[in-house]
Amino acid sequence: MQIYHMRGVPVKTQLSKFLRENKKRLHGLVKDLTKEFSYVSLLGTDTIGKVYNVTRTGSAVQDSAWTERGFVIRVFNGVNYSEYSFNSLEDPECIMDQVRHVAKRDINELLKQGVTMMPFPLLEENDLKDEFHSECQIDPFQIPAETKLARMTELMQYGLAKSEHFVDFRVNFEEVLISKVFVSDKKDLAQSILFTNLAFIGIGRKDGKVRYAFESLSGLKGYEIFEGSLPKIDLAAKNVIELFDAERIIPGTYDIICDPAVAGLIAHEAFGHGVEMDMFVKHRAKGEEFIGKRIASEKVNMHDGALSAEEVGTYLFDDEGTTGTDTVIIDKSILKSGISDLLSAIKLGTSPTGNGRRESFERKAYARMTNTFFESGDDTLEDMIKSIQKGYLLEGYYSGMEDPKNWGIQCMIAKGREIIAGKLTGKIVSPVVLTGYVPDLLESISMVSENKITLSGTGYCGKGYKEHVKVSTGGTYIKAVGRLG
Amino acid sequence: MMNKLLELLKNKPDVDQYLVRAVETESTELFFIGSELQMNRGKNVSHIEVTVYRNYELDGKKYKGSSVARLSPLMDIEEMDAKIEAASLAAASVRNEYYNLVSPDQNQAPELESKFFEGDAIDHIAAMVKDLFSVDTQLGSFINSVEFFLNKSRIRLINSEGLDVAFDKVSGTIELITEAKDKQEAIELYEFLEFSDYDSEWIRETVRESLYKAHLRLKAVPLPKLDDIPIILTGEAVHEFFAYFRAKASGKMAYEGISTEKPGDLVQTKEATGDRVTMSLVPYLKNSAENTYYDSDGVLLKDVDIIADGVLLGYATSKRYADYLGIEPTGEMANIVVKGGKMTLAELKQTPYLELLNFSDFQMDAMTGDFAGEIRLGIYNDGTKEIPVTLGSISGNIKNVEKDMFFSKELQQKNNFSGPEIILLHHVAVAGN
Repeated sequence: MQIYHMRGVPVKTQLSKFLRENKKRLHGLVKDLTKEFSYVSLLGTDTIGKVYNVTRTGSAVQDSAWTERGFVIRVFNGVNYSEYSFNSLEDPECIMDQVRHVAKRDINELLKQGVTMMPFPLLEENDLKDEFHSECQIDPFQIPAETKLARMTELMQYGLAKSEHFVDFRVNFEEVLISKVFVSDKKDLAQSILFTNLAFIGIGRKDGKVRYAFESLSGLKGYEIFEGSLPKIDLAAKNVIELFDAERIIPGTYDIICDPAVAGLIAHEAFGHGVEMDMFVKHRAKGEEFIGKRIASEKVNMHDGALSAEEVGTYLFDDEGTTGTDTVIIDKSILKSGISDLLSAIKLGTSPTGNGRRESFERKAYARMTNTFFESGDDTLEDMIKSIQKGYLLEGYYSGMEDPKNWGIQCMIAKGREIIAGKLTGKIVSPVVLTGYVPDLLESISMVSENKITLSGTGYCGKGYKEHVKVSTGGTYIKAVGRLG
Repeated sequence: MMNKLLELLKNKPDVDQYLVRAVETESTELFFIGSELQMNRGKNVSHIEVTVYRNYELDGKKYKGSSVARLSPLMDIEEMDAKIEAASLAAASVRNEYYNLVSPDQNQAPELESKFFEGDAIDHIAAMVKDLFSVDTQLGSFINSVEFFLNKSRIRLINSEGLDVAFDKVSGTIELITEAKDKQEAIELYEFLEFSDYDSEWIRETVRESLYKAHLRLKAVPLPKLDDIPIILTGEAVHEFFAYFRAKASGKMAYEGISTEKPGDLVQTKEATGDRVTMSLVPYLKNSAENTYYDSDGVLLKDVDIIADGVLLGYATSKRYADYLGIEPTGEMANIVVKGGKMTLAELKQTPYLELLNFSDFQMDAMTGDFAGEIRLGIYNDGTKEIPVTLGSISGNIKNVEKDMFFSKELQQKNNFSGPEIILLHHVAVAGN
């Protein structure tokens, strides 16, 4: 295996040349529009990135799906807010005409057709000028594609050799450098953030059954992320092999221990979506009724925020120019706060928490999670296992889905390890669907492990079936009671 | 910009071939809370995706490397040049078995039709708003919130082999949240609708149906524990269920060794006593947001039968994997047509049964055949009465259900799926309360 000795002084990322060179024009555009509209802001994005894939049968390199360059302007239209997304700066007059078209002509047309508008207060901002640039050890963009693909091919072969039953062992690496500026009458913000993802997917076939498992690494890291590869490959390979002999679970309610990945999924799906405060404005979230009330067992503390951890959900400011925070959502069983975008906050009369995020400059901002996790506790995993007469240790997941109004939860779990009389029996069940009523599940959390919190940011989060953003989730081991099927 | 880009590509000695996909999109978006407009948005964007190819030989074998670069109209020619140069360098390290690019087809593709092509987008979307809110709230259920997205795109595909096609396309989405409440409780249902044409009655009917389901969900009781109950899948879950069979016809999965069935092989057990799967792919389905007569490589798309009576007829695949497998490319198509079964809805609904009307997110794992979903709304017919139920989940594997699964004779058509209205399954695990 090739070893790299390139660590040294951390590399600070830089705002893109394009945004640096055009900042003055953007300020000018905002200034001109401010003559016509009482609130104007502009978000400029310039994200570069590449995805590298290596499989048994080939390889691929392409620009990351997060790659974008463009702008969104938000203006107060007299009653609420209108937005215009574009990716040309050729004709500033044309941009201004388009903003007028959306915020004046379209609104007038809709009013003529009988549409009524929901009033929102005028945004008032304080002066703020700031910038943030994340750091990494090894700038991945400086490593040639040839070197990356060669290293990934070695890792793929290392994984493939783990079992004669493997039909593929896919390696996926993504490097993304986000550059953003936010400009308004009062604000002048800039940030550059680099994240990388590295994933290993083992696929095997035995006795006609196909099984697969994945393990991944993520973070505000550079090429150094590859250093953690081998243990992850070993684990992914072991998981596939174990799944060959997995049985189907007998549906029922069991004592469960969730590994940090599953705990993170529960934090995210069960609760995170339920406290997104744009859902409060629509009365779509049950969490609204529980602010200040007990919602979980006393073992439960939960956070979300751009500043709660250093992972893929970290930033200085969100896509509406609000600085990120560390929000304590649940504090020792009590629901303390939701997470909010700017417009929901002004509508609700609360403080924005810096969670207004867009899939891209082309999409609307919504209240979204960032880095979401349960805090660690004071129990040990060993004691958790010992405490269970019949139950399962749940490990890894494929997906989850929220239901904030009714507080239902759906988690597609990769596998469960059977526990009988305080011991792991070696029997595996897969796949496992964890469902239930969120307050019941959170109230049933009786033990939380003392381990260091681990977060994973390889995936992304959608709101319903759209609006994907990068988030991280995690925590430590938790013991609860869950309905499994 | 396109001419400059093509000039740039033609003058790159290292770039052996290229494919350019340019998309210009105008979008109008409205966001409602209740019946009040919360925000409106407009969008004018253009995107260019360039794939550069490098052909080379290694130990006497031909390979093709490729790399995809996304270009922006905000880039000057020097920056585009640098991006293409970097993509070309990366492509030289990508090692894939050799394949050919798509050659121009002499046949002309029909134009996609949509009422949205004529007139102003704001008028169209206002008409949809009227349709949607014109449905009377019934039985205590109402519209909580709704988002409208209407995109008109001009797509152009050009490659180094002389392909140069352009077409217009409309795709729209409506995210509809319906709610029902009484003194004790409030519930909601989530609908994600996709379309390509204006269909007033379809919008009204969809809202009516969602409001009715919301009303049922409010009355629903926790699903009891049920053993060996026949399961009925409906709506989107039926579409998702067939993803397993669609994957069996994937040329890519066959080439990668993930699926092993070959044309002529059964993709459904030979012991099947129920209905057998018959599936086609088509470039056009009424009101589908996936309609297109060209795939992303420029293959001219035509209707193709891929499975008949549980037997794989042939692979559906892109030009690349068709070359690998030595077959004619069908191109990649997202519109799926599945033939209905022998029995009617009434014949299939022999009590008792559990009919599932709405899931949190029903999923079929096309690789393993595992399927599962949390139940938001179901109807449990115990033989004497119909009881709306909620909470709980189902899970199963295709190998356990393919023997005696039945498809309704009646068909549904929703976005990019046309097929049986329901599927009746046995041997599915149900987690109740």
